[in-house]
Amino acid sequence: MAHFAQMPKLTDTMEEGVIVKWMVKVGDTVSPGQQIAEVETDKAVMPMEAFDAGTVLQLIAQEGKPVPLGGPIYVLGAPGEKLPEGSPAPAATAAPQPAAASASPAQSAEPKAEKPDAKTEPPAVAPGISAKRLLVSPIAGRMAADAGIDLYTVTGSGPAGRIIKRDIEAAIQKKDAKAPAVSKASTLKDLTMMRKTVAKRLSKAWSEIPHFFLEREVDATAMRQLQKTLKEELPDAHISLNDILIKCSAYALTKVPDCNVSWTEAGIEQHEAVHVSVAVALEDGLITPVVRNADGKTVMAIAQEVRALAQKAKERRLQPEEYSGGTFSISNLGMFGIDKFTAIINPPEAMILAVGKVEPKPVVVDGQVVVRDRLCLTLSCDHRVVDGALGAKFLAELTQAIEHPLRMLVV
Amino acid sequence: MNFDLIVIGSGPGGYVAAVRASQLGLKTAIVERETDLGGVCLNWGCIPTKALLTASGLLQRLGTPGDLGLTGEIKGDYGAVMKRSRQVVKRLTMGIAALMKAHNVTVLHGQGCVEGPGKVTVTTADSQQPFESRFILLAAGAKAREIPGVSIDGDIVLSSKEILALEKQPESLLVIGGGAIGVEFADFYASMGTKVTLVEAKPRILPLEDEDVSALLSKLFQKRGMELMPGTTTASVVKQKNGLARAELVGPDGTHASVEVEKVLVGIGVSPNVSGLLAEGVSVETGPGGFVKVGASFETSLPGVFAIGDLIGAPLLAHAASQEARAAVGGLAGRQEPWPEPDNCPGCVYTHPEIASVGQTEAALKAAGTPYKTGKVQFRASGRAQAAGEVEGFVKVLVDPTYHSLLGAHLIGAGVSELIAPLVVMKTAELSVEDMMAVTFPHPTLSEAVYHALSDSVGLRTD
Repeated sequence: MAHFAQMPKLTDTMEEGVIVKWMVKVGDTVSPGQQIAEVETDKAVMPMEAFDAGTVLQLIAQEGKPVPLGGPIYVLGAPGEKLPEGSPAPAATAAPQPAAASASPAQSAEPKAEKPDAKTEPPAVAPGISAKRLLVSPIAGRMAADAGIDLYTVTGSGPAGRIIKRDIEAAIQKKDAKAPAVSKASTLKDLTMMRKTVAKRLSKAWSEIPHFFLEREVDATAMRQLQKTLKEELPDAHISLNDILIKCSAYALTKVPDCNVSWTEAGIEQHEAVHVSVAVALEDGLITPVVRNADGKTVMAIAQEVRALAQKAKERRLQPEEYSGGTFSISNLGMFGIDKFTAIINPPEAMILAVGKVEPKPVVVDGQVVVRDRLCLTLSCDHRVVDGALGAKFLAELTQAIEHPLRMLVV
Repeated sequence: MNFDLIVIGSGPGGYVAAVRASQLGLKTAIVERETDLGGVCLNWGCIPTKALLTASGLLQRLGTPGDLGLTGEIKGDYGAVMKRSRQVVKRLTMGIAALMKAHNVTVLHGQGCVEGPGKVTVTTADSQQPFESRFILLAAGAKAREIPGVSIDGDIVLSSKEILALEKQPESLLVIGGGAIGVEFADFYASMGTKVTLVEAKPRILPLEDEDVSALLSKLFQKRGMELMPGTTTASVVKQKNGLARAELVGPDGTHASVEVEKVLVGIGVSPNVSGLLAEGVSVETGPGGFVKVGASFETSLPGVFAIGDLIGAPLLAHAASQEARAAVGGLAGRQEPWPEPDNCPGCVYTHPEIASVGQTEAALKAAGTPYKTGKVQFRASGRAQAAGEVEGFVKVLVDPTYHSLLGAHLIGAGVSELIAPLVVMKTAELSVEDMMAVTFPHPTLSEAVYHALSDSVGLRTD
């Protein structure tokens, strides 16, 4: 029996998905587990598999258009089977591009005896799913593509509703006429999935979690020296200060396990493993891939893993298990010249460490003014589960590890 | 309610409207005040002139038959040529009458007059009948415009209507107006042996056509012995005692000239036939030139009253009227009809050589600051033209540099009125030069020149 396949819930927070690319076309047979499309969720672009076997009878969801969770995306059935009730008119093709120009100006001949009544309207469609057949002149199609006009929003004034040049010119004028309502200096950019997600999650975190912040300036001379040594001895490892900080943070968490927790309504969840989320900045937002069991990994292993995860993040190829499950976050803006900053906690974690830049500063050591490399750390804590003293204890252990890295080998 | 639609005027606008209305199931009547249906186009315009020009064209072509390896002397019999044109007209007017009958359109003879929305009276010499209709379509056309100081008397000063009934060929003719009508009659009469003088107020004849086209036609006309006077207006025409006409002309620098001719033809333009169309107290909004103003659906300021064709102004062409008719009737019948784009309407001049164009001229593009690329092919370079011995003329296309769409096309040469068709298709269907280059034009034809001109515009000419 021909049936609709629906937009699946591919991440725990997703509410809608966008088909980036169909991997099958109408007429193909699919088997369970076969990848049939790439879907962009709130977190990343992910593969979507078929749940049943069958023949693809119709592709409903258009590439690039959002479909809500549970919305129909394609029809599976036996070859030649009738489409189920409620199917939009079979006209959506596998990869309709707004620029696809139909070069057939002639519409089929009119029936001999016509009634001068009802104009034919395209069938009512759900938002994001189009069933209207497009007639466009080649020139109009190209103009629309260049101007970024969605042909499905244009009414054609040519024969049989064909979209022609003057319709695109009118649409462009309308578009330009709307723009001046906003001041000259600003334009409107569409929200990407990532931007929407970051906005939602961080707004929630900021409003729901009672944050407080602990600042501590640490001596980074030893850490700098360590990094230099490692650079000379293991040049291909490319170990950064941040990699060392991740190791130090993981170590500190094993020393102060009461900080390795999460707030839940039911109680304080104590995590046994230490998984460090590392903030990676992307063009349209940020994501935090996780270094699992960072306490048990060498700095070199951490360095390799962070590099690989960051690359994957930039390619939007992170899998859910790679960006979830963290118990602590670290965010470093030192390379951007930031002295210090406060970060927003990444729920359900309890703390996030904001790292500034390493800078030589004059300090007093044994009564003398000397120049040392200094680093400012700011720890944000969830006051529901971490109090000031506990947070300070963690920072003390972290400082010890940073200022005396060899201690991590011994204690 | 007598009818769903009453159409006033049975020219190419009116009769097409009536047929279309009938196809859409509307009970239709058509009103015509002349004896025969078909309007100016059929009776006093397009058709008879083309019949005349066919004869005069052949006369010109075969004037020197030795060129083609033929012998003999071909002569023109003016009376017979004129008679034939009337026969062609008669055949076609009968055809329109048959068409109306076939579509159950009621033909009402008399002057149609709009009394108000939905009300029309049809008046003849001895009757006046009122009718009620849901919709009214005005397609009453236009008549020859007069020049102040030069009134059309039907004796020495004629419009195209009177000259087509002229039984005796004039020895000399002054043609006032160098537009399509003027140049066509000038061509016909010159071919038949009349001494022709052609005056035009604008700086060149065919002022609305492309400059290069005007220039070539002027050159060819002058070679044939016609006297062309561009930049010249006519102050007055008086009948002399000897029965001839004396015309006072004013040249471009204000100089006066005087010519004595047997007949004068006035062909400077048209004015809409609004008088008699509307009852006293009934008015519709008009614009410059007195043409009736209509909205996007061809509705006038009077609700339920529509207008098309020469009555509403440019393009003052029969085929434009027919397209407007289809769009207007479809619209009032509740269908969504694409309304015709004037820039896609071709215009043809049936002189020898013929002229055909669609879209913008180079001058218009330059004035608007619109960028364009040019493609041009001389017929001299065409194998077919050489074989036919008709080498005068060219195909010129103006193409948008971004999308390679057609902005304008201007042709002059033998048979170009037919050659313009693929270019009109290209422009209306909005195809690019590349789309057209994928089309295989047959060889050896003159139409190939269209292909080569298009490919020339994008630097891909291969011949």
